[in-house]
Amino acid sequence: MNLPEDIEINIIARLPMQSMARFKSVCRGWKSFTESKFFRDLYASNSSPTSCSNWSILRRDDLSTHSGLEEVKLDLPRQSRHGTTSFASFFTEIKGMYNKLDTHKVLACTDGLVLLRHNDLPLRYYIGNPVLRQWIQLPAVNNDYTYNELGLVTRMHNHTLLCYKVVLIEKEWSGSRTYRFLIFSSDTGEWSAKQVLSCPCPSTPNPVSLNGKLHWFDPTGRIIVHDFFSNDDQVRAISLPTKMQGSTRSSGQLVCTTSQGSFVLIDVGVMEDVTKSYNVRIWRLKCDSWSWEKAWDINLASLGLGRNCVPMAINCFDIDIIYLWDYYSKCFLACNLRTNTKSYGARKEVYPFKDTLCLETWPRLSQFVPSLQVVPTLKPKLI
Amino acid sequence: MSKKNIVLKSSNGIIFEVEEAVALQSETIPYMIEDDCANDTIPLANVTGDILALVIEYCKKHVVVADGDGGGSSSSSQEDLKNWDAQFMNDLDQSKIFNLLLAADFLNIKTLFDLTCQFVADTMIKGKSVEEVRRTLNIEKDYTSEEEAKARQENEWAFK
Repeated sequence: MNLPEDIEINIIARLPMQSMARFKSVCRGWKSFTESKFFRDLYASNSSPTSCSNWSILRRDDLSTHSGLEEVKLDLPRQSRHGTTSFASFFTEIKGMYNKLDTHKVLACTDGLVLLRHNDLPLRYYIGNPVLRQWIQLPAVNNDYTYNELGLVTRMHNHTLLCYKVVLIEKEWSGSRTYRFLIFSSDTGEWSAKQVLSCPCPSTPNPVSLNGKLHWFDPTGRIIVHDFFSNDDQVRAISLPTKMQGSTRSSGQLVCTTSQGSFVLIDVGVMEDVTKSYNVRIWRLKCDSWSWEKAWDINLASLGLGRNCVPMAINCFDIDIIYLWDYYSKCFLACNLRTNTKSYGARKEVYPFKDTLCLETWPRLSQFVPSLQVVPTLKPKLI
Repeated sequence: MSKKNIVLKSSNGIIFEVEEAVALQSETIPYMIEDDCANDTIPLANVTGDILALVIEYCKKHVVVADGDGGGSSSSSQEDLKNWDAQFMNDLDQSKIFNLLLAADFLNIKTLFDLTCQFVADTMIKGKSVEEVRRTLNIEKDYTSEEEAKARQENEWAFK
């Protein structure tokens, strides 16, 4: 018995991404509609916010070339639809690609896109979607390690990628009150320089990409925001919420992350005298007023989590779900702060995190949310 | 206060009389009532009696009881409904499921349509091979061998 095509589409849009990619081989019709914008929209609307139970992270380690995407299997929350998707296989595949292409390093990810760098000089950059196995090499840029990669920003409209930019920042800070960027734009297909005014000195940022903006923490205690799709010639510096606990390293820790479309700050405080646990405040940055809104203020002891469990990130769809690294058990875990349900990932015997790494430096974790987003190919330049 | 009943007639002439609230979960039926106000019976030319019986069973279970006390459905009853839905789908064979899907589409009952689509995706498609999916959905392979190999190669990760 045959089903009409529109019903077939509705069924396929409810499959995990892996099955869906496999069934592009069923017939021409399935391949063409699963690659259409209509389907992408339908797929996005079916993926409920709670559907990502597995947590895919990009772990950056600036001291070595060991940085990569990896998947942490956490069954939280349970009733997920797309949660059974296994991305492990395509992560292995990227690794295969590293080996083949020698030393590649994953630098950033946002909206399902991943930025890679080939480490040999001249540096070459690739941008791609690991789900679609699509990789595009960017035009050569004159960077002999004088610039650091700052990140990848995107401009989206109705789940569709309109443009992306790769942002490099000048490493040497000459003392002038400017940040110097080299920016690649997919619109122009070219690299260009940009300078914006800055007040403080640059740090070693671990920026968070959101809606075309990069956010990073500045050592003077502010969050620096810049919209790379704007013509702004200065950055915005946002003061931390008042009554912070973690603004100095001795007394606590700050983690920058995103959730539900907002920049989110996890302010981790240590209260020696009270408990052997962390006090966690979660602040959401409101985009319209650039002000902070407190989403959570909770002592992890109340959830049965000791000092060995260090906050690392917030679920990008659900601000109630916090990810932690447990350095006794050597595993990630997810905890729903509202329901106090926990889920533990697999033990990682050899994990390059030092036990206390999470406390010493800013955690270099980005969440990777797989998407069906096609990377626009670059138009050949007219001579 | 007496409740208004609606009479539905399946394609093979079987008559079902249901409460209005049950029937109105279909977004198609109200139009048919307007179009056909002189006649009390609504003919459903696309739906056979056995399938219509299933649709009505589903709608009776899911009818929102809006009687005075104003209490919405509690979370435990939501859980019950979910379990009931799962059992309801599990008891059906493939032909019934497909016909139910077509009926839910025709009658425009969104929750039933979502339920059946998800059930088909999860149980009949998700873990299956490409060949099995073609067989289940009676889809003819229109790829040449080279094209199929290419489509497969492009998505190699998904076959592991």
